[in-house]
Amino acid sequence: MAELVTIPISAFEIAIHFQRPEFKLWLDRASVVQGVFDALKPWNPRLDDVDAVTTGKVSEQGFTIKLPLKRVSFFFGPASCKFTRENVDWQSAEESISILDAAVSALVGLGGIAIGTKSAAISLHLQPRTLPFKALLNPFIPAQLAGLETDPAVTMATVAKWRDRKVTIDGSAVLANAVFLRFERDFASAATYEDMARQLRHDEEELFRILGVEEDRG
Amino acid sequence: MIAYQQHQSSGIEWPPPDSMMLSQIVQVPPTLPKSTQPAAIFDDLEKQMLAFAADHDATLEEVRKYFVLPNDSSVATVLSAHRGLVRILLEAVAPLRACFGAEYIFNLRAPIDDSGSRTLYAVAMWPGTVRDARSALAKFDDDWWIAQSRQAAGYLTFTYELV
Repeated sequence: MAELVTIPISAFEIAIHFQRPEFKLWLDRASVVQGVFDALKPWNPRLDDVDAVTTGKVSEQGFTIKLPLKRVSFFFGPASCKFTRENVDWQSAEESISILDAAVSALVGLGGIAIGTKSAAISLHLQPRTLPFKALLNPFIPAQLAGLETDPAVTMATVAKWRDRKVTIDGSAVLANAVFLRFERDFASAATYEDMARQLRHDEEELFRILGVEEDRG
Repeated sequence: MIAYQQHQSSGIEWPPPDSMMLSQIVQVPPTLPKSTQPAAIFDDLEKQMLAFAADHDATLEEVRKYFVLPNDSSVATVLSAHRGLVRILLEAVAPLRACFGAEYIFNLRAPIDDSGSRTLYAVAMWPGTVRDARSALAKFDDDWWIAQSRQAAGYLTFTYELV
């Protein structure tokens, strides 16, 4: 029987890479910032939640607009944009897509960019009620490693990477007795947000099965 | 406890919470005579309250690293109402681990009692025998809790639950 877990902390992020850098977004961006800000109007952005990122490499510089009430942050620079939302669940996926689509559509329209590949990731902190988190991690410890010592391992992390996918399973650094699960996937530029959500949900269900957990929605 | 070094948060740095409600509280009714001095005092008060709230949120995050909180807001509500409990809980982590063992889970619960108020319970989820649990709790009481309990003013109880 699957172990019931709560998910006190969760985050969704998607990075959209441009087919080629658009320097207008770095040097002459006032109209684009205005456009993205206006596109996010339904979710009440505030002027003070707009930040210019002027440090770091050119690819890291740009603008961030936050929607604190929705726990959303949208960044764009000359080579990519990134949407991040905290406290996500599948019930709020449709709203997340609406906000993301509004911001990206404005960026495409005003910035003249061509969308390239998309990288999406979901991070979850899974907290079992009574089972020690190590019991969830133990099955992922290779027997050869576990056999190095007679004592059981205190903790363990697993990272698996494929050409367009990555899964990380670790102990949580921010919650007592919790497992950190992060799964990432790259998508082609033509993939729709709905297709991506469907795929990520399938990935989550598959990983929950492997971990032997089920979300406690009670 | 983590094994693999990787950022586990979204990386967003949120601004302080909207102070709109605080501002509304200190708005001067238009019929009163204008005075700049009280407004200056209240401006500072707002900043202090925001800093106080941010500080409390940060310590609450620390509590989450060591104790399992329920899905609802009951425990957070008690810890907001009795802010001194947060510090006591964090100080209790080392003696709890010394007496019960570092590998056990400690839950926080805040049920409503007969009088309608909430008391906070820190519960060691104990997989062993009753005798061992009682022995660990007695050691915790003698070594640390009895000397500290007055600070909690009766709002915090340490106990165990067999699992």
